[in-house]
Amino acid sequence: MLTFDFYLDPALTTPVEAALQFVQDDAGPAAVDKVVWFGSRDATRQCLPDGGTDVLVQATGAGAGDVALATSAIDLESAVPGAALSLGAICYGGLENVIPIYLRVLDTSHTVGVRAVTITTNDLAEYLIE
Amino acid sequence: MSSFDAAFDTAFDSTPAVLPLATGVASFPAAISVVSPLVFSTGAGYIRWAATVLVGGVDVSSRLTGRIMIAAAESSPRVASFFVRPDSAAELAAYDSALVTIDVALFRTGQHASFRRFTGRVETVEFSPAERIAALSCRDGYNERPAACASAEEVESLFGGLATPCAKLVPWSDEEPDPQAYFEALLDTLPGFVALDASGVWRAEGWNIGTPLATFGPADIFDATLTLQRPSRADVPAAIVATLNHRYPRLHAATVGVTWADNVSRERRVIDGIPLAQKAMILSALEGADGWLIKGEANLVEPAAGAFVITIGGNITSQLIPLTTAQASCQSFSATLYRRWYQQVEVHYRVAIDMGGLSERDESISLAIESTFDAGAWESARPTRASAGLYQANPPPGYVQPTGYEGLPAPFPPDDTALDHHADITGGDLASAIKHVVARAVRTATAGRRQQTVSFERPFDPRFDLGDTLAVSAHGIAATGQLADFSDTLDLESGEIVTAMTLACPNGNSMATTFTATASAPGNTVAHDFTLAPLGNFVGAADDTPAVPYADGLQGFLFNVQPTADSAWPAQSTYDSGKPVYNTQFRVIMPEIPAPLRDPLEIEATITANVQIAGSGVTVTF
Repeated sequence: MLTFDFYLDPALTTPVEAALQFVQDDAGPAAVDKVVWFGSRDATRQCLPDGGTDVLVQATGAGAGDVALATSAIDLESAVPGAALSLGAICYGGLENVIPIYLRVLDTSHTVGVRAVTITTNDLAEYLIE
Repeated sequence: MSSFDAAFDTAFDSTPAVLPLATGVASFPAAISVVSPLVFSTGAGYIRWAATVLVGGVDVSSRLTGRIMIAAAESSPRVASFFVRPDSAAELAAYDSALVTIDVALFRTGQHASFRRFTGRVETVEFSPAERIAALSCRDGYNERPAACASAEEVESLFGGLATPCAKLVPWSDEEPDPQAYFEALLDTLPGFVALDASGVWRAEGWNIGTPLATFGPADIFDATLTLQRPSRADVPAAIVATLNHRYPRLHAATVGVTWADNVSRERRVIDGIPLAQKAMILSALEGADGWLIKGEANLVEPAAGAFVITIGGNITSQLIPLTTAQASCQSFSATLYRRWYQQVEVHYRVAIDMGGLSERDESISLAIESTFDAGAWESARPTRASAGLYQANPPPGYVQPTGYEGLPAPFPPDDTALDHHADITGGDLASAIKHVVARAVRTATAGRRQQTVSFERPFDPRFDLGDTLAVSAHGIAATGQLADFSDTLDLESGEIVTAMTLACPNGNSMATTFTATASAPGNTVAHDFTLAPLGNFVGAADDTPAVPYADGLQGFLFNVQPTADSAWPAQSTYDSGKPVYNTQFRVIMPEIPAPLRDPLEIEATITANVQIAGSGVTVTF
């Protein structure tokens, strides 16, 4: 089982289990930002893409096109909604290597209701750091 | 020719395959809830609502009973409680520490809104077997987050840069980490609050009061629930005084030049049997001079050895000084004596934040910062033998003359001055400590003013979270404030669904709570000018010995005339048995260190601070 996961805090104490909710006004929505953290508390681990060149994070699901991703608040300003986010070729474990994942949701459907989104990585393979 | 065909290149190399420890994807769910704000209209009509409660992934919504309560407040956990009828003993057992989410959907004709209101875990389960009802109390992960941190940086990251850490005042120990205590210490400097949102995401928000997201009028709130709470006397004193006490040693260095010369004539020395001053006696006197030390070495000049012709009473005779006697004696000397001592200095950096209150209660914050420098050891250290030079004259090329301070620990204040030695407390440390103490005062001041609150209840309104700016204009109360706490009550029996809100509406002077604080360390202009009374030659038991010598003036070589009976020249003897007889000695009394240069010193210094407290207060109209 991967030790790399998404967490609710930079200390990687609480994995994101329940759905993060982004509330949007149907007529005049305003962007809502949240931040989660990606990493592993185990400093002996590293993860690489299991195929492909980079570790990627992307939104999938009905509302994926309204989700912008970035690794910093500054980059979030220019992030393209729906685009995958690259975390680099290798992600390292340990708290000093935690990567913040900024999410910005701005609804474009203007349709009342709940749309599920999954934030997911591509296929990863986890190794010991040698 | 190679043994191998060139076609067998590196592509045919084989290395042992490294198998991954695990493979898969990491993911988490999210939901975009598009809502119609019209469901919150307080116009005529009705709304319907439904709560969706998941306990350990099991939807128990249809088995809820009684009330669902959800409450949140600044810098504390969000809590929820509800009653549920478990389907089985196994399900009841599974409630322990189970993940809980509470979503609330609102329906109005043609409108719909769904909100996450709580994410946490079951804290306690109280089961009533008679009713088959379990009362679940739940709490979010607020307390667990800081406790799980493993470094100062992790704890600091929980404050989003809004706290004011100071390693010297609030140190982190890698040997005995106490993340909870470190978290609490930083929280005391936060001009804002921390909390988890409804999805469990950690937040750090400033106490900022900007443009309200909504203004509630008389039609938006339940009339009798609107209350204005003024701060108590204890919350708003006249002023909050923040003090940083900086303790450090002031290191003094003083020098005194000392000279002496034997002025007894050869004739009198022979007639009265006056001894030559001994080198050992002089060095002993200098080395024990009340805490003063010889810088380098004293320059002792020996008397000339030999036979010296003198005339006494018309008779020609001689004074004989053997070589060994001359080598043990001193004709004159010069030396520099020095002394190092420290003075404890405590600088009180202060700032007072005017609160405008009438309470005379003293609300003060006082912290101290001190270096680990051992001033006592610095003062009591003694120089090594190496401080004495090897050569009196004609040193060989390349020889470096000692300073006289060899073996003494640093620092070395320039002679006859004082050095304020902050040691391991850098300028940056001091600036950081000043900001830390002011930050604590700002938080205390702001928290006090934020005790002015406006509370009310209105139909369930989950649009707003802690920290949002809201306004009220109803029943003669006009206020804009920050949502400081709320509680939801969802009554499954009656259908009543209410949110109670408390807005912090402090009197302030800004839209954001911020501050700047600077202070300058005081310098010193200490200049020492110690002097020593001239060292002389004092003869006792002689006819020219004062009957009452001035004791304080007796510094130098003290000796006596031998009795007339022992003199080879009794007719010329100056012996007087009635005059004071001294203890033969070389007497040096060094100047005392004046109390103002020795006693602990306290200095008042001012912190220049600019404090902005967000808020516009409350207007009451009768």
